[in-house]
Amino acid sequence: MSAWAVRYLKPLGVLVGSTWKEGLRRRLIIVGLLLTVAFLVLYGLGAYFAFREVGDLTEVRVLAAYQLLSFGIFVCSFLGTMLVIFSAAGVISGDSESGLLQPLVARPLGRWQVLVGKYLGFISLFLAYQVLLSGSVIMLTRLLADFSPPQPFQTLAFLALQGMVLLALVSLISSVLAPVPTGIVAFMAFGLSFIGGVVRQIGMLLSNETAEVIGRIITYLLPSDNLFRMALSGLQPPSSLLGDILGNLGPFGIPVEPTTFSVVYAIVYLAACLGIAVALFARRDL
Amino acid sequence: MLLIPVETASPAISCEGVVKSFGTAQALRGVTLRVPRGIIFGFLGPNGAGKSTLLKILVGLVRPTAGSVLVLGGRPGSRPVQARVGYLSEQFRYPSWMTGRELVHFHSALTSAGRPVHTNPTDLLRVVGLAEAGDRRVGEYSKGMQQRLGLAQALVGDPSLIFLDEPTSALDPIGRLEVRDLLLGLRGRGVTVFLNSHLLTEVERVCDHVAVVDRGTVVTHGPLERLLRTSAARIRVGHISTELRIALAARLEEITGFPAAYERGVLTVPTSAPGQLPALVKAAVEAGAQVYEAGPVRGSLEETFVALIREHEANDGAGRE
Repeated sequence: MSAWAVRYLKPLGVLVGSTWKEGLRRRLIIVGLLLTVAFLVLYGLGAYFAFREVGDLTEVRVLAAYQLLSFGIFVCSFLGTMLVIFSAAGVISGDSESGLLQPLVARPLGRWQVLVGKYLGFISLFLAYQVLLSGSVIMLTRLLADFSPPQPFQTLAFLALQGMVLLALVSLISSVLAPVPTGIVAFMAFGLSFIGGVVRQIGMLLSNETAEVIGRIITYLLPSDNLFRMALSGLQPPSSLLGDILGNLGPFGIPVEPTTFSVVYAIVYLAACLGIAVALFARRDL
Repeated sequence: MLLIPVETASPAISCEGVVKSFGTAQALRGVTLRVPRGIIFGFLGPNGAGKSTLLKILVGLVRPTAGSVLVLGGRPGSRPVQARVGYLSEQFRYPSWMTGRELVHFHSALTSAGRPVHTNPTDLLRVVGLAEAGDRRVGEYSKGMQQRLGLAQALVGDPSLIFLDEPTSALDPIGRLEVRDLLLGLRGRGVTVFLNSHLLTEVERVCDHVAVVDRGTVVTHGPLERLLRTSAARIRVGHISTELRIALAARLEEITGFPAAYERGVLTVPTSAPGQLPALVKAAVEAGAQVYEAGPVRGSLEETFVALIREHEANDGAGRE
């Protein structure tokens, strides 16, 4: 390894490795996997029974499959959010209060490395989990309901981006608040974003500009719901007439077509949250 | 080969007017301190005097509000300084899911980001008496074992300066003795030890230099020998007659203002002024006694400490009113 890599990358690797080891040791990973298997079995059963009764008409089958899959992906997004919030709620203030952070910060690494290393550890856990979970849901739907979403990788990518943005936000909140308030605030932010999306959806359906603008503003303040809707758009069947109907019917939100702007915005939002968190952490008395 | 005399080598630590405020409260009110290299330095003070705050500033965990701090000639918290420094915090909390050996490994991997480190976890764990427990999880350790592990952690990477915040608070008397030997061993290898403690007998046994801090200021600091207060003068006069004894006692009391005691050929005269000793010896000789030996009696660190803090708090209180 070059001196540069030893100095800047190795500590990040050490911290990522320790996050995974902790996940295994504390049985988080094994219990998480067991519960996920339970969820997938239930989802599979639901899909199996639904599609036994749904009849032969192709349009109805596709409609039902899409409804089921969008519900499944909503649960994936929700579970991933839970994982992100609960794993990282104590990342700064909690660990500093308990005295776990001080010995790390006293080592020859920058504070940004401590925070970014922990961020990468949590996000790698989240990504592995989300790919496994939502990947399985998509595969199950394909097997049991004979429905293949047109752009499954787009769905995965936006679910991943949603978790990454939320984790950056949780890191930022955690540099100000204690672990439990951090969890509550982060979860409320997630809920608020969802409601904002619903308000925007209502505004679009009823052509009410005020509602749409309010919804859109919340979407920018907390982009998580918008990212979820962009994930949904990867599932939408291409047929235009059906697509239009479905577009207005999703129980968990209308899909939103991804735009370059919203992707760039999400990345900038993520970087800003993490950057501010690092700056606050660098000034913090431990 | 260039030999740098010890006196001119930069000190391990130098602080100049260090102030730390938390909101309106001032934890440190202008601390100035120099710690030479290669000694065991004891930093003493009552609870809430600002000991841990200064230590955290030196380790780079807390930023001073004002003043300048140099540790090993560099800025505390900077990478080259952290690479040469070990730290045992007062809380000594480590991830409960790791084993002792893994913790040492983890810290040596992080330290190697600063400079090449060759740590043998087995050796370090043996040094702190955890050779048998290295593969057990920290969560199963007793408080004392966790503190020992904290010491091993602080020794990772052969630091040239090691900060210990109350390192024996959870240890039994045997453990304290072992830590004392460990500190003396470190000094023998040229390591500077900065010891935060309120266990005065412990400090008295190992420390070369001591600073006493109270209410955020350094009350006194210097070599331990110089700080210990003279509490009395001892004059060995051999066996003397009762009349001489009475006459002598009266004469000596005139000088010091305190009654002298005589026991087994030794006169003990309470005095806090070592400068009175020649006058006392002269008076004894003039009264007709044979003086075999004379010298000051130093108080314990505890006596000195209590006296210093009481004086300081009386002055400080008066100064504020």
